Amino acid sequence: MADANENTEMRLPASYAGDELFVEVYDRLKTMAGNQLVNNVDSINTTGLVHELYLRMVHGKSLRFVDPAQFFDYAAKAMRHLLVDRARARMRTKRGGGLLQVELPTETTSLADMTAQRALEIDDGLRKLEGEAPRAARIVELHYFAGLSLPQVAEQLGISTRTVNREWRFARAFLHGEPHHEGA
Amino acid sequence: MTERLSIGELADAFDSLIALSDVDRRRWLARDDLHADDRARLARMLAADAQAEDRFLDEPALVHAQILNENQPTHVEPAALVGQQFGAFRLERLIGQGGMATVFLARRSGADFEQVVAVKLLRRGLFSAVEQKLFRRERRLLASLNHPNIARLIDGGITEAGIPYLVLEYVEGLRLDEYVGTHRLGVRARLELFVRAAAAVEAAHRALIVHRDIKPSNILVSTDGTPKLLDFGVAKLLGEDGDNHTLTAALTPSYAAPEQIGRGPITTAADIYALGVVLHELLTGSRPTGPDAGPPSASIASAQQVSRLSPPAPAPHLRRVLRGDLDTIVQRALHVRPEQRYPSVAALIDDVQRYLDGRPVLAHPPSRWYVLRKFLRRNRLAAGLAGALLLALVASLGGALWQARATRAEAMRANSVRDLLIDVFKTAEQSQPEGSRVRPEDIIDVGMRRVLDDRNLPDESRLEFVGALATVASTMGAYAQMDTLTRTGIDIADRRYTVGEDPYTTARRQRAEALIHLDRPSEAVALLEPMRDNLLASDTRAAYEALMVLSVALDRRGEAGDGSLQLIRRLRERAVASSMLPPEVVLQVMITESDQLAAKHRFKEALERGEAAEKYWRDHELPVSSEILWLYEGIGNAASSLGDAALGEAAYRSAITLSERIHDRPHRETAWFVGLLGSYLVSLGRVDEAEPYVLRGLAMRRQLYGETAKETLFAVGALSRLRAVQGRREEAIAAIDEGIDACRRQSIDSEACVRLLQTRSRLRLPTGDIAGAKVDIEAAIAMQKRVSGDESAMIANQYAYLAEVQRREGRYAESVATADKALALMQRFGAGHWADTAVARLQRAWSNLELGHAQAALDEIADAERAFSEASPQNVKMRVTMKHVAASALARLGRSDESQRAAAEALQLAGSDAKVEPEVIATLKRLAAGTAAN
Repeated sequence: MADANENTEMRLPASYAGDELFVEVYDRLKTMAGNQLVNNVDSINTTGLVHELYLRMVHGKSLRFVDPAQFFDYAAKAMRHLLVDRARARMRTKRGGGLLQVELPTETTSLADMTAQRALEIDDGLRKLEGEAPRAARIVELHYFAGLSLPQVAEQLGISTRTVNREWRFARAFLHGEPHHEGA
Repeated sequence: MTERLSIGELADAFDSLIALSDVDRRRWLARDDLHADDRARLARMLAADAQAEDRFLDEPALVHAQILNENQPTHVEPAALVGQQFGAFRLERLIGQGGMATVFLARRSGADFEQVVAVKLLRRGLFSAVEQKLFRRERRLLASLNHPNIARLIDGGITEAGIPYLVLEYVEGLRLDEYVGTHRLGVRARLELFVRAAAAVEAAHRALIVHRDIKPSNILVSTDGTPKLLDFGVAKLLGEDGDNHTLTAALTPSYAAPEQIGRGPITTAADIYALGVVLHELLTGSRPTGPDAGPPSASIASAQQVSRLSPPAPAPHLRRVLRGDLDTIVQRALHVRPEQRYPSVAALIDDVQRYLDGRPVLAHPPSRWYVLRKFLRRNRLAAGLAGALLLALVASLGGALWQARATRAEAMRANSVRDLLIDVFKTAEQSQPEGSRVRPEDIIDVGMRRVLDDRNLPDESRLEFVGALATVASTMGAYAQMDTLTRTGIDIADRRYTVGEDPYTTARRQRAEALIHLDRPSEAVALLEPMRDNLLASDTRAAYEALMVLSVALDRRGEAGDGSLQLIRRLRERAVASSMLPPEVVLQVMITESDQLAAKHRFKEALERGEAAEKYWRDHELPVSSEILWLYEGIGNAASSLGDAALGEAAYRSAITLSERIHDRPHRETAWFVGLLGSYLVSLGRVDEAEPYVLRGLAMRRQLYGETAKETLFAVGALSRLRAVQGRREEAIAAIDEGIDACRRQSIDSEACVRLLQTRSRLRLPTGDIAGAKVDIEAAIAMQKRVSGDESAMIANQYAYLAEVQRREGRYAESVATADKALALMQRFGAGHWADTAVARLQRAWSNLELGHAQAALDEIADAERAFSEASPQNVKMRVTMKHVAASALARLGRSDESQRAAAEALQLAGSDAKVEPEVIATLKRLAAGTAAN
């Protein structure tokens, strides 16, 4: 399964990867994510971030979203892509190679290794869900990646909060229940 | 059966399992027909589900992305890279190492040239195609930055290993701090150097590039004393995402603006902050201890700390030099809140330059000390007060001022939210061509529903949003929505506020604006009039805005007297004298007055007031805004109506230039002004110059306004007039028929359609189609009456022309009567259009002549001709025609010598001017020869 991680670009549908708009969302999200300090987790508010991004995107020249739902889809895809990118970079350097050298293991680096591992597993698991339980997969995208609250997800998808809660609970368990990679 | 479960079945199984007790779960899982893998999987799922904490997916992806980002491997072994090739460049030696990059001296060798450059290797790899694409896009932007004081980005790329690198102009020189130390520069020389460096930053900002990492080591000074900035925008290129720690640790935190360390958006204000730090350092030898650290002069004593930089003068002297203006300048640049800093690098440079020139600095904040000093200076008496009393005064005054400032800060925050919102919509509206853009009305609708449905929103905020949306609706011309929004606004305001409070006033003002747009000015007057005295007693922005709207409403209602003008004049006088009112409101009042004068065709006063407004705008260095464009249009209209062609043209040209500056793409306003100048040049007879403007104006308006908009129809008319003057009559008629068809199809009654009809009538007349010309001008007059009432200055002009048509028909008495009507109206509406006055008088004189009133004709035409020749000597056709009437009248009166002389004079003037009508020339020739039959 580690091999499936080799080609980053395969992780996104081609329609997104070539899309300037997607690139734009990704760029902004990355920038904005960078403006928050990680050790101050309490202050991180993904929903706020994504909404702020939405405002800025609408403000800019890119008012090309048909509706907010489309935007949140993009934001979720962008965040997923960002996370997988970083996880991949992490895994790659762990294996060594190129000009970048491996740093000494510390507590934070092992946290980072673990995070990278989990992120890639989640991404794999999510692709399985996408095939057979697409709605559950979208709930994961909007909630985990785009940071919408579950009631907001319900509103976006036009279904009841109860359904969203139930499917989220399943999807979360499903993704956590993926067989672990060797060597994690 | 040991078939594997599908995900759907897995979900069902999971749903049933979580409803069960532990024991029942185990029993369920022990079923034989369950595949071992599924059993294990479901067990893991249940375990994960039961886990209360530390569930990976319960933390947002953002946090995970950041954890990964914080731990990017960054270790590069530079020595191994020397000798390697990057693009066309070979690395020669290491010249610097920073937190995010390593810099090498590199060389490109060609057959006949050699280039030495700096190659910067970024420490962080860019592995994904998306990240690489971003890097390239940013690089292209930076490569376009071309300024003598900025080190150029020559090339860049990404190696196969994913290492991004930049090739930059190699600058030989000393770091700014080293340079001023080595050369022992004094305060003045340092400031001059600073201004030159800052000008480069300003140039980059104009290209929308923010440096993000300004510090002395990024400013090199070459041996001839030229400063050069390095690494423009490179921080952004490196992707500031998550490099925040690196940014603060590796890029000297002292230069980073507070919002760069926190989570605020990074804008040009961050560069202004960094320039403030550099300036502080240049002036005192030390960096400020932080944002809002206090005046630089106070930090000199404690300068034993980190000071790599020698101060420009000995401490006691330096302290004296800095105190006051320089302290103020640095402190303003270093303000913790970006919006309190200088609005632009240009403003910072300007203040430093003002200091250098000995002019007053603009930065002075209304500090309590500053105000107190002024207060004491004004009140000599207070200076004699006992110490205790003075202290008490300071305390109370200071407290009051502080409170006033705090409230203003509150207000400002609220305003900035609102302004952003407005800005979002305005930009959205402008950014897309008509048709393909999301309809603004939809956005307003969404906003409206959100604001009205959100129960948690406090009334104050709800009112703010409703007001902002109403403003947006107004700019979009969505008056039905504006109607709904402003009615809601009044409801909320009435519930929450009382008379005299700003939100109450503002809600009513907006409602009144909506009513004016909805063509119900009387209701607008009724809404605001009861508040008039109250508002006049108040010196707030809200009060002024409401009163401006009241004056507009009075004007629209069709006041008999000039109540609206009196009100706006009074407002303007008070506004100019007020010390509380922000200058942009004062300007707004001044522009409104000029507009209203122009609307009443009091062009002379309108022009005076308009020019005063323009001067005020310049003197106060207010930003360019749409209002300024319309001000220039007003000045242009007034000037051209008064016959000042040069001023009119200059004003229209200014409007175009400024409009192109504020709108970076084809925009309605630009389209309007371009067409306007085109029409104006046509009317001045400068056909060749006019053509490009007319064509461009029409194309832009078609695209931006649509085919049948009045703006487009005006442009169609202009094109038709242009073609007519060029003698391309068929094209002229074709253009205009199309325009009139559009009016008919849409049953549009508008000034634009009036103008088209009038133009067609003028085109028909010389072809001998007098009946057709008459039909058109009568239709034009009827429509004009529907548009602007039975009597208006516009109708006066049309009557003047109708008098000509009637004369051609041989209905001389009617013609005289019509000319009388025209002239009476012109008189009533102020000076009127001088050209049209002349037209009316010419027709009256001519028709009188035909009626046999030769003396009356002669008196009138002699006077009219004198006035006209003075005002518009270049309009040969008109002058010759007038002289020809005079000569004819003289002949009728038996004064044949004078007639002959006048005719000869006219012929000479006509010269080769092809525009004079042939009949006129023929008559003149007969008169000159003394052969006219009487």
